[in-house]
Amino acid sequence: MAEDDEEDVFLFKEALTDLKVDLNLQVVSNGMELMKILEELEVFPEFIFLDLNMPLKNGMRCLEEIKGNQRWKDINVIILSTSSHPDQMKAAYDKGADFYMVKSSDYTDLKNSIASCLQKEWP
Amino acid sequence: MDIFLQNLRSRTAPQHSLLEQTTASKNLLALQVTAADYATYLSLLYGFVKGFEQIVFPLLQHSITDIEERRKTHLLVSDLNMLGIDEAGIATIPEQFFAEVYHSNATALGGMYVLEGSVLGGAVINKHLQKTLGTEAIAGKANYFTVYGSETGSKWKGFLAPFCLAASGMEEEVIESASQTFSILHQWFGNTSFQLTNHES
Repeated sequence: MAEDDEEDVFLFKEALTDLKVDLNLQVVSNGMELMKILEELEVFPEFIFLDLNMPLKNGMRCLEEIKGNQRWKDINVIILSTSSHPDQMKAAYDKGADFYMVKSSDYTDLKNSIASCLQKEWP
Repeated sequence: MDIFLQNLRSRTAPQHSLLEQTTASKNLLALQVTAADYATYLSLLYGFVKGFEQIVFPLLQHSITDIEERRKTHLLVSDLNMLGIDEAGIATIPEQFFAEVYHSNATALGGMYVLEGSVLGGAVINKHLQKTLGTEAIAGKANYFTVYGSETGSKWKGFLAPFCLAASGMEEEVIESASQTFSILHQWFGNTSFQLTNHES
C-alpha cells in the first residue's frame, strides 16, 4: 500500500482486520519508496493500493511506470482517491488502473468499498 | 492511445463541467435531494439514452463488439418504475434522437464515449442517494448507476481498447462529437419544463 496519510493507513488496516482478510500488507509513504521497493522485488505483490496524492512522486506517475513496465504491468493496481470526478477516474483507468476506490471518511463505506474490491473476480 | 484519450478528456472538460452545473445535476448531488429530483434526472437521461441506443448503437456494432451488453434504457425504465413512474408516465418524457448529429462512425464513437463514461461515477451517486434518501428508499432503484458494479473499471477499460482502435485516423472528429455530446446533454439537462407523473413523493 502506498499512502502518506497515517490515519488512512490505520483505518485501512482496521477494515482489513474487521473483514477478516488475510493480506500481507506492506506500507510505504510515498511514490519514490514504492518504485524503489518494486525494483528490488523478485516476487511481485498481487495488489498495490495506490494513493493518488503523495509526496515525491504522485500516484498517477507511479501508475504510469507500473503499467508501462513489462515486469509489473500485471500487478492489480487499486487507486485510492478522495476525488470522485469522472475525469479523474477516466484518467486513472486510461493509464491502466484496475480499480478506483473513492476514499470515504465513513468507516462502513470504506469497509464496503474494500470488500467490493477484493470480492471482484481478479484475472 | 494515451495522448488521444488525454486530448479527449482535456478538450471535453469545459463542456463536461458545464453539464455538472445544470439544475438537474446540482439537485441530484445536493444534500437535500428528493426522490422527485432523482426521478427527474433519470427521466432526462432516458430521453437521451433511449434514442441514442436505438439510432446510434447499430452504427457501432462492428467496432464495439459487446455493445449490446452496454444497453441501459431498460435499467432507466426499471428505476423509474420503482420510483413510481409507470409506463404512461414514461411515455410523457420528451425524447431526442439527434440522428443528424450521429451520422458517422466517428460521431457515434464520440457520443458513445460520453454515454459509457456517465456510469463511471455511478457508485458514488448511489452512495450519495443511500445517505440522503436512505438505503431502503433507494434499494432496487439505482440499477442504471450501479450497472457494472465492481466491474465498472474493467468494463470501461474493455470499452476503451476497441474505442481507440475504431477512432484511429479520425480522432479529431471523435473529440468534436464527444464535446458536442456534452453540449447537447447540457442543453437537454436544462430542459426541466416537463412534468413527470405518478411521483411517489
